[in-house]
Amino acid sequence: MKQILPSLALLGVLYLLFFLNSYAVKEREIQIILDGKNQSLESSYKAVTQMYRISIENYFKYVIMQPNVVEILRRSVHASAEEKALLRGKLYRYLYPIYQQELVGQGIRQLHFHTEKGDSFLRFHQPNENGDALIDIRATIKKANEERTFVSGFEGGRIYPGFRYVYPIVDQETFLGTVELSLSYERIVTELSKLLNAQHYLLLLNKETTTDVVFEKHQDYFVPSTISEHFMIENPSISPLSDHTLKSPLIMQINTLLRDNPRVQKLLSLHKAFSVPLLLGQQGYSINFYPIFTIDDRLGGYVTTYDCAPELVDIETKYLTIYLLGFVTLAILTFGLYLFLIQRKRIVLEKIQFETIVTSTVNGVILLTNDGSISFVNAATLSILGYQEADMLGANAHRLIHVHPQSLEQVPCPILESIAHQHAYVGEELFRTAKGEHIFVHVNLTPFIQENRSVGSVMIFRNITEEKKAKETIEHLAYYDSLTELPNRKLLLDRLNYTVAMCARAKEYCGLLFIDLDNFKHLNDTLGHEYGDVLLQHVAKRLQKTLRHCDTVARFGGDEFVVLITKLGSEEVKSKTQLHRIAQKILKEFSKPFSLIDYDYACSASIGGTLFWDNSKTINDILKDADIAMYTVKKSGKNEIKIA
Amino acid sequence: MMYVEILEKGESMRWISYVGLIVILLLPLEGRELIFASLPYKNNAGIVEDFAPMLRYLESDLNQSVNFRFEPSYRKLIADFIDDKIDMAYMGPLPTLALMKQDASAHPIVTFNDADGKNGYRCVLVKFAPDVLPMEHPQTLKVALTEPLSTCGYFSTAPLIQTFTEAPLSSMHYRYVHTHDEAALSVLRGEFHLGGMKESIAESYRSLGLEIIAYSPVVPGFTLVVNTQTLSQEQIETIRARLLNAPFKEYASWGKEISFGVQAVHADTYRSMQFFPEVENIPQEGNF
Repeated sequence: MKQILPSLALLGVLYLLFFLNSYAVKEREIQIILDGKNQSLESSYKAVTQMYRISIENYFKYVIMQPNVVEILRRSVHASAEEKALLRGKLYRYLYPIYQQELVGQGIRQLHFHTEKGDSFLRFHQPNENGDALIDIRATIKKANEERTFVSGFEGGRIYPGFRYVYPIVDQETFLGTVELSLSYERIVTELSKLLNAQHYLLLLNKETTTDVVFEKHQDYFVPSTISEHFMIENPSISPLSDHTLKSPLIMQINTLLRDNPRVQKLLSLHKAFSVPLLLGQQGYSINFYPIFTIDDRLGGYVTTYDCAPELVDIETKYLTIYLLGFVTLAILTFGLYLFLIQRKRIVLEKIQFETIVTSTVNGVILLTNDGSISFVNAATLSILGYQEADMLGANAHRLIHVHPQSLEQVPCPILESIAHQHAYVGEELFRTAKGEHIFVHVNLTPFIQENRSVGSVMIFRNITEEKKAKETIEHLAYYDSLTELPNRKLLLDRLNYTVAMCARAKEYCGLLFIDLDNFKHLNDTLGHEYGDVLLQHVAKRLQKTLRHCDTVARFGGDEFVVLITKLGSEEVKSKTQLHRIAQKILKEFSKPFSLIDYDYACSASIGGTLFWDNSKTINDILKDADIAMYTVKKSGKNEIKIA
Repeated sequence: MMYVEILEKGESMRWISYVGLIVILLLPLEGRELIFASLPYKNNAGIVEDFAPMLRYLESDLNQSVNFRFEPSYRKLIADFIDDKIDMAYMGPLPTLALMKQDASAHPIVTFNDADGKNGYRCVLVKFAPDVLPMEHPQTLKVALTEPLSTCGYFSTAPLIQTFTEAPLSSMHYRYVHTHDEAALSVLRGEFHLGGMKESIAESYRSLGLEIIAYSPVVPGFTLVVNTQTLSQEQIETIRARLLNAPFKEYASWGKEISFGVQAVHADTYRSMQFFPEVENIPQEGNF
């Protein structure tokens, strides 16, 4: 759990960074596409309006500025209301064929004459609406009127907003008023659609600068846009363009989304060109807004296009894949990290365990390199050998601590051999301590393999010096009599067994003497066991002193001693004589008093003996024969010898 | 980001549409829906825009939904009313008279006031003031008319022509130009010598030199005709009472043509029109 939480946290942070970065890149890609579409809209719009400016100027010069028209306008300047009405009707009648055939056919919705005072004189699109003052609400007319210059731009109006082209009419230096030709947005769209590939077009009219100045009775020509309450569109019942666009369920859905999106609403208030990407179902759309301004630099509205943008779907799909792959990759890396942390923790625990074991163990642990140098020692090593760590590290182990009885040429060092041949070695060796003392150690040497190659050996050893001594003591106690330090019955039997086998092979006689101290019970009973024990010790020493080193003197039990004598020769008689002479030597030694604590004691012994030279007699037979011989002596008066 | 919102909204809109569909399917259980039709003086959207608020106002008392039926012509409207496919209709006085003569179950209950609050209007005969009419050869005169079944069309223009020129309209060149404005404008453009239209329309073109040369008697305003064959007396009374008692704030929000209030139709409302020619005698097409 301690590893999972940091891993998950890391995954979260990394994926967040990755996602933010990818998202930013994706946004840039989308923005590039949207910028391209908006720039296309802007350049197309400018091209269309410029194109119309040229053609409208020609209409003005060659179609409108006819002598009859100028004459009517000249007369109307000073005419009465009644006269003006007739002149207005005549102008309408005169220009209507041209208006209908030439101008309306070219998409010019409004042909509007204004008086020299800036009042409406005749609207061909709404002839019965006239006489209203325009100079204060129509910046184009005011400017053309005051500056006597051509003015163009988008603008609101009393009936329709439009793309205005206003020309001053001057005849012989007399200003007769102005005339305005306006393009419908439908016409702009017709031309735009030749240059662009948008699905739908809409003109969003800024309520404040366009529809708010429309005559009250014509307010029905406009309805609120479904995108923003600050913008109107032409009533679908009178505008085929609005009707066509708003009949599309797709556009209605898109407009609803745009209306409900605060970001779009904010962008609309900035009066700048922008595009909005949309994904609906499996289709991508770009909604492009290009602002158009009135000549007094107020927002007139937005030229809006609804464009198919399949690239957006591709980008979305691409980045969904990237997000997914990124997540999978990071998840794998995180899982790897998790495994690494788990592994590292396990290694650390193992290291701690190893160090704990190595540190706390009573065994010495030495890590050797391939050349026999010491690279690690534990505390037990320093304790056993008495060295400082610095003295040992880097030193050659063989030279520093190993006591090798022979030269390396004669007997190779098993430790060095083990390292050289990468095999294990278990054995007892002699090590030298810092004080120069030699100690016995039990060594376990194991090759140290890392990444399939030997990097040295691990030597584990323990001091067995005391152990060996104890073992020797135990062995001594098992085979020797603790009182007399003579071999006991067990060792005697063992040697007798061996001797029987040897003499049979060597064809030599051996002999066995059974010695029983005379009156020993009486000594114990009268002077105590401590005198008896001292006597036994003196007897043992005297026997050992009397006999050869190759002969075995053993305490057989109580006050019985057995002497095993070898190499008596191959002749029976001589051997028997020899055995008898040895027995006499023993008796002679026994004739000397034994000094027992505070008392000299005269002790005699009864000795029975027997010869053997092959394995025709068992050791029991031999002992029995000697014992019987000894009892014969006991019965006949003691302190004698009888060789059977 | 936008994409997420779209998906969420798309999902919620789908649920809204499901709920809407269920509601629509359950509505017929409430009772038969009533059918309203209007003269085709506007396109369908315009008619909905004008009459939808009034119909919603009526629905609340009728406890029945009222739906639109769109008719392509005056003649088709009358025919469908006679066939009982229509429960309520908005008509001018002439079509109302024509209908009443053919179908006894057609019953006008209220008339809609003009903008000046008066009930009823006049039709006029106009010419462009500077034009000199060839009165010595009246058969050469060209006359612009609105619609065959329009009150100010052939119906009222024929007697005015007869009085003004002392020659029958049938002996002259006449053509239907469909709207009152077009009748006025076509005279101004010189396409016709004379034209017949509503007085208020003609007045608006005085500023272009249009001259009114004859007036008809006052005719009743546009009316709401109910079908007594398909509606119960109780329903008819409910509609009448609801319309007559509509507060100013309410009817002012209705479509422009019906936003000036209503008056009850009396027994003598259409009496002044009894002297006009028979509707059946009105030519359905122009003669040139």
